[in-house]
Amino acid sequence: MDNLSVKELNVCIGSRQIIKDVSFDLHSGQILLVSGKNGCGKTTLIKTLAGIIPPASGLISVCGVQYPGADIYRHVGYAPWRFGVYNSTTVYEYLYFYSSCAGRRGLMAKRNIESLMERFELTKNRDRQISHMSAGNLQRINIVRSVLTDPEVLLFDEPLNCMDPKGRDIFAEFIKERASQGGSILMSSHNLSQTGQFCTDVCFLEGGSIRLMESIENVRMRDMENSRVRIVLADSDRMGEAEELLLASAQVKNISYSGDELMVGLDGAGSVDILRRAFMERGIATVVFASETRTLEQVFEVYYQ
Amino acid sequence: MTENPIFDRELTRIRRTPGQRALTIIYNILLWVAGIGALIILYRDAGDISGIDREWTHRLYVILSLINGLLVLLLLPGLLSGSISREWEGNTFDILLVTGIPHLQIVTGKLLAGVTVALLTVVTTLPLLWVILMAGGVFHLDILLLFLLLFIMAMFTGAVSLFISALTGSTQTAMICSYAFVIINCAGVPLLSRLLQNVSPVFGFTRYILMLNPFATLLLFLTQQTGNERAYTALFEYFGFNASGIAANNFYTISLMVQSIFCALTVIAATAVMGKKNFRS
Repeated sequence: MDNLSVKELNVCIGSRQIIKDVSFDLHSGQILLVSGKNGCGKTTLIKTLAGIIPPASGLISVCGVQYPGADIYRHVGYAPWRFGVYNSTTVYEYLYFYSSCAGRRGLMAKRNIESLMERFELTKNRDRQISHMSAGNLQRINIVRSVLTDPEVLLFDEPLNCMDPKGRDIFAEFIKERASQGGSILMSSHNLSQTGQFCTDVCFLEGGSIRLMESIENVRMRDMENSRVRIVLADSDRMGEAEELLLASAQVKNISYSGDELMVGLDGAGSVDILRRAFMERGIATVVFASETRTLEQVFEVYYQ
Repeated sequence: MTENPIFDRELTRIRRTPGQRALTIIYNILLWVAGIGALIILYRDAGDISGIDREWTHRLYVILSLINGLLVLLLLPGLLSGSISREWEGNTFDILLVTGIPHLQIVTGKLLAGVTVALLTVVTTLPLLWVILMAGGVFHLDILLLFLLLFIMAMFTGAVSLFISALTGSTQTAMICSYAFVIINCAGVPLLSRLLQNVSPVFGFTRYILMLNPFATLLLFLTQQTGNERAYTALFEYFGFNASGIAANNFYTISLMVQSIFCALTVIAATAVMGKKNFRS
C-alpha cells in the first residue's frame, strides 16, 4: 500500500523553481533516504510533503488524503533540521503541548509521551528546561515530537545531526520498528554510510529533480558486480606470474599497481572467488587478498561531484 | 479554555516572563497606597464614611478606572505584539503548523491569554473599587459594566497587536507599530478630527472614527456613569457630536459594538495573514 504518493511535483519559492517534476511512491515499510548536494532541494521537498510549502503544481497524497487538506497533518510526522523551542518550558511540557495541539490530551497522551521519552532516553531530563538541553538531546526531542501522534508517514530532515552513536542506534532501531509496523519514512542525510544501514531505498536529487532512485540492495549488488580486490603477494618475485594469471582471467577488467600491492578491477559479483581459487591452484601465496567493499558515499561520489 | 493548548502555553509563557509578576505587584501596591491614602484623607475630613463628599469618591473612581484602562492599553501591545512574529523568528511555527492546529485557534488562544493576564492585573484592584463603592456614589452594576468595557478594550487592543504581529513578522517592528497605533488611535485621531472639523465641515465624518477609540469610550462611559453631565456634553461637543443626538445618547453602546466587530474582523484578518505568510518560507 502506498502511504505517500507524489506525482509531477513542482515547487517554486519566489520566482525560483526548487523542485522539478518529482514523482515517486512510498510504500508501507519503505525507508527512503534522500540525498544530494547542498541546495538540491531536499529540505524544500520535505517541507512540501509536510504541508508547509504549497506546491506550484503536482499531486501529493498521504494515506489517500490529497494535499491541501487539514487531514493530511494527522498522517504526517515532521522533524526539521532547524527548529525552535519555547524557552520557558520543560521537556515534558514541550512534548505535551505539541501532543495537545494535535488533539491528543489526557492520560493516554501522557503515557505515550512518557514511553517515548523512555525509549529515547530522555526521562531523566523530563523536568529540565528545554533551552538548557544539548544539541544531541534536542534532536532526540525533535524526533519524539514528530512521532507523538503515531503518523503513518515520517519526514526527517537531517535527523542524525548532532546525535551521538547511542542516539543514532536508538533512532535506527525506532524507525526500523516503525517501518515493520507499516509506516513509511523519508529522510534526508549526507551521511550515507550510517543511514544506508537502515534505509531501504535511496533517492538522489540534483537541481530539484530525481537523478536516481532505487533500492539500496540493488545499488550494493551493482557495486559488487564492479568490485575491486587488493592483492599483496607473499613472495614479490612471483609478481610476473601473478600478472600473467590476472591478464589471462576473463573476470579481470583492469590492474593498477601501488608498491607491492595489486589493485584489480573485476567484472561480476562472483569474480573474487574465481580469482582466489585460480591463485590457490597455481600455488601463488598471498598475504592480502581482500575484496574492497565501497561505502555508499564512495558509490555515490559521482553524484556529489 | 484548557481545550486550547495555545491559550495554556501562552499563559504559562507570560506567567514565567521575568518582571510580569513584579509589574502586577508594583502596580497594585502603588494603586492601593494612592487609593486608600485618598480615602483616609477624605474620611478624616468628613469624620464619617457616609459624610464623604460623593464628588470626591466619583473622582477617585474615575481616576482609578482610567489608570486601569491605560494599563490595559499599554500592557496588551507588550504582551501580544511579538506573539505571532516570535513563532516565525524562533522557528517554532512550522512544527506548530504540522500538528494540524487551525490558525484561528492559534490567534484566539494567544489573544485570550493576553487579555486574561491584563484583566487579572486589573481585577486585583477590584477590592479597592469596592471600598470606594462603600463610600457611596458608585454601584455594583457600574463596576460590572466597567469591567465589561475593559474586557472589550483589551480584546480590541490585543487583536490589533496580534494582527500587526502577523503582518510584520518582526517582534521589534510589531511592538513599535502596536504602541504607535494605540497612541495615534487614542490621542492622535481625536485631535486630528477636531482640527479637520475646524478647517471644514466636510471633515465632519471623521468624528465617527472616535467609535474605534477605546479610551474615548471609557472616558465618556465614566463621565456618564458618575452623572457628570457637564463634562459629558463638553466632551461630545469637543469631538463634534450633537450632545442630544442618537450617537451621543448611545455612544458607548454603539462604540462597544463597533469595537467588538472590528476586533472579530481583525482576528479573522490575522488568521488569513498568518496562513499566507507561512508559505513565504
